[in-house]
Amino acid sequence: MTGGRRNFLKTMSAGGLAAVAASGKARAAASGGGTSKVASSVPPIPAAALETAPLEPSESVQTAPSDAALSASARAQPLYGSDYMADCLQHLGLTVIPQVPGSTFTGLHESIVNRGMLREKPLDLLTVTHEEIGVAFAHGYAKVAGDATATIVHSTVGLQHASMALYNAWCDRAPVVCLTGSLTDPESRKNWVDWMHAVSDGPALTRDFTKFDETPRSLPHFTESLVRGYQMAMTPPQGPVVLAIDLNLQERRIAKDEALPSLRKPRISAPQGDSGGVAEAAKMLAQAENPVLIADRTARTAEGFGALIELAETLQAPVIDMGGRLNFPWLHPLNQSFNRGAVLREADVILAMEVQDLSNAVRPAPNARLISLSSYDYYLKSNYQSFQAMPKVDLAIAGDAEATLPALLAALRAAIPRRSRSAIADRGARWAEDRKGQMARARREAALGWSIKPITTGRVWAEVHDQVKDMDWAIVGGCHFEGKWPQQLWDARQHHQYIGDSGGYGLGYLPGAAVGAAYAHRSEGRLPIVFGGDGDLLMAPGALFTAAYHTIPLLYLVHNNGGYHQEIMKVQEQANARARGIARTHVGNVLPGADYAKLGASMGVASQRVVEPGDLRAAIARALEVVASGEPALIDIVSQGR
Amino acid sequence: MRSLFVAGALLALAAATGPVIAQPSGEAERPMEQANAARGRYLYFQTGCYACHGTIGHGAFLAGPKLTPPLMAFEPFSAQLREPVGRMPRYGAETMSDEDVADIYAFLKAIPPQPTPDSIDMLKDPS
Repeated sequence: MTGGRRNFLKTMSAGGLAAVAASGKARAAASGGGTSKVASSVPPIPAAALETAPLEPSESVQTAPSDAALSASARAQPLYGSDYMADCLQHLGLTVIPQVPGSTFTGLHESIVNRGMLREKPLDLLTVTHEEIGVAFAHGYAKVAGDATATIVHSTVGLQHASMALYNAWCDRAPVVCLTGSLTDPESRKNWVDWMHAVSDGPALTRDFTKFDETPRSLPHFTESLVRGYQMAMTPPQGPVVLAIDLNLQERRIAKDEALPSLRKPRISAPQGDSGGVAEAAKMLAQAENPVLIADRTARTAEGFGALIELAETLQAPVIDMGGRLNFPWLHPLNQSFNRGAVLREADVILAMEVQDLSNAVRPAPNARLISLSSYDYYLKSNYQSFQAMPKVDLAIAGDAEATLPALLAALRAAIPRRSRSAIADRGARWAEDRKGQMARARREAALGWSIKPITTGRVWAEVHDQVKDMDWAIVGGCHFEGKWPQQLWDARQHHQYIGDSGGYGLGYLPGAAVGAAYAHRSEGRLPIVFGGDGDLLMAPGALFTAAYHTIPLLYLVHNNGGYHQEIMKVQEQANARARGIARTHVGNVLPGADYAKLGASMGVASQRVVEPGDLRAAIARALEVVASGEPALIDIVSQGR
Repeated sequence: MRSLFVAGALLALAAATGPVIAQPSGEAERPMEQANAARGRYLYFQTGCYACHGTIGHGAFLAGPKLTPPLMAFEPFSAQLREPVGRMPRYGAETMSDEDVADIYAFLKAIPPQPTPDSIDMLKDPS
């Protein structure tokens, strides 16, 4: 990556878009020109709420007291249980906290804003408009940051809202620490609403698709549970955890002689496959004539990404990237993801690494010997069937693929006989030649319908790529409903440039996850891009508010195909199979007339609408200027169904 | 029924993209060579072909394969509609007449040649 491609936010001009970027300038003015010394976490109070001109930030907001000063004052002033909890979050690095406020965690809320956000390494409390967005935010954030963060949801109703997003994180093996308020003691319930928001065992709701949950009974128990939860969430297979935090515990005063939390953030070392299994796998691969590598949620880090490249190049074996993460460079000659059937029909040995739907992935190769290397074998729950159909595996290695790859590589190098080197090189040359043909075909197909309306997804991606290809871009949403053109034509060479999709395949993930991922990219100065469905956006549009309010730069392209297109096709298929005609199959499936540019603008996001393909280029350029200025920008693109 | 559909599903896809496709008059009986491409275009949308195959038959990932270019011969085209291979829904004679099939084929055949990647700067072979 060249220097010119990095630090997108620092290098692009911010001029020329006064009209659409006015919201950001107003915010900058309202916050005193961005002079606050505390992290960007204190958005201004809206002038409308004050009914007066924006106030200058107070001295207490401008200057962060030292942790030592806070500790000193802690002993001079009363401290509360939720102060203790906020300190625990800070110590554990769970510092980015999206939340919808709720009366069952007001204690912690107050401690975060008046204590946690004033620390030298402050917490950042973000306003989201739905608990599903909060969890999705944390989900997207974790996949970019490589570390979990926390989200807080109200008891009962809040966790119910959050549940779908937790299921996504579960299916996507993403670490999320979800705190939910709790009113355990009936004596503390003041009215009927408190009773409605009370539950004896709140986390039971999501227990089938979380790795761990706890309802701590004391502050030391909270510390223990939080560390345990974090450790469980981060240890592969990663996943969400839930802690119910009692309001009484939050509000309890801490006695002067009580200890403040003292905890260590553990460095998580992932489990590696056993040496015997690794040696056997290496032998099978070394002896194979046509080995194939399948990756899905394999690379969590740049190191894992690099290790898979090394493995593929050592074997000169084709790689099929199922897309759960960015596992392998998209334009690498050995990337045969769009040639899956042909590759697998030739395969005699397949190494599948953290592949979710393995049974289906290897369907074209029923006679190949199959090695599964996966942390999925470590942890399973029975009720929800996210574990997929049982594949016919010859060697199942329970181990985190990324952690195991270095050992596998070493064993493989030792197992490959010198006499095989020529054949291995020939194999790679053949796949590389094939790859050129695939790319030529992709370019031909992207050109089809270049000037038609509705605009093709191929043209959208090509137009964006043309303007961002020399920047440090990162795609923060799935592309499979938008043609998977980036995987075919974009030169992704770094692990952070793609984070896969929702996991659970339910609508509502994308807006929140994209904003959370964009937040994590912000500190690296990268350009986050998402091209996502209109149905997904309508499920959780409030994520746009969070992006605007907290000035999170993000290029949000709306794939406006006027409906739930998957279901348009599916219901049509049903109607045709029953010979009833499709005249009524649009009922309940279409979303005509929605204007996502107006939706974005209403949330404070600089927004445009594009209908003509010839208008795309200028619209993208304008939007990129907004994003370069540190703001989100949206383009509503009236597009083909797929 | 057709007018209902035009008012609904087609509008959803073609939102703000241009005029609603009018229904050309069909002829009850006429030879294959007189197939009506304009009517075929109407039927292509009305019977939902566009949903999977795109509005000019260009195809889409996770939907339907491209139909053109190149366009297959009429016989296998018709056979695929009547007794489809793969996940394609069946279009029997009860929902799509032989003339309808011929008109849709004529529409696909009449689609103008599409640009090649070499004619589009951003799609040119970078090597």
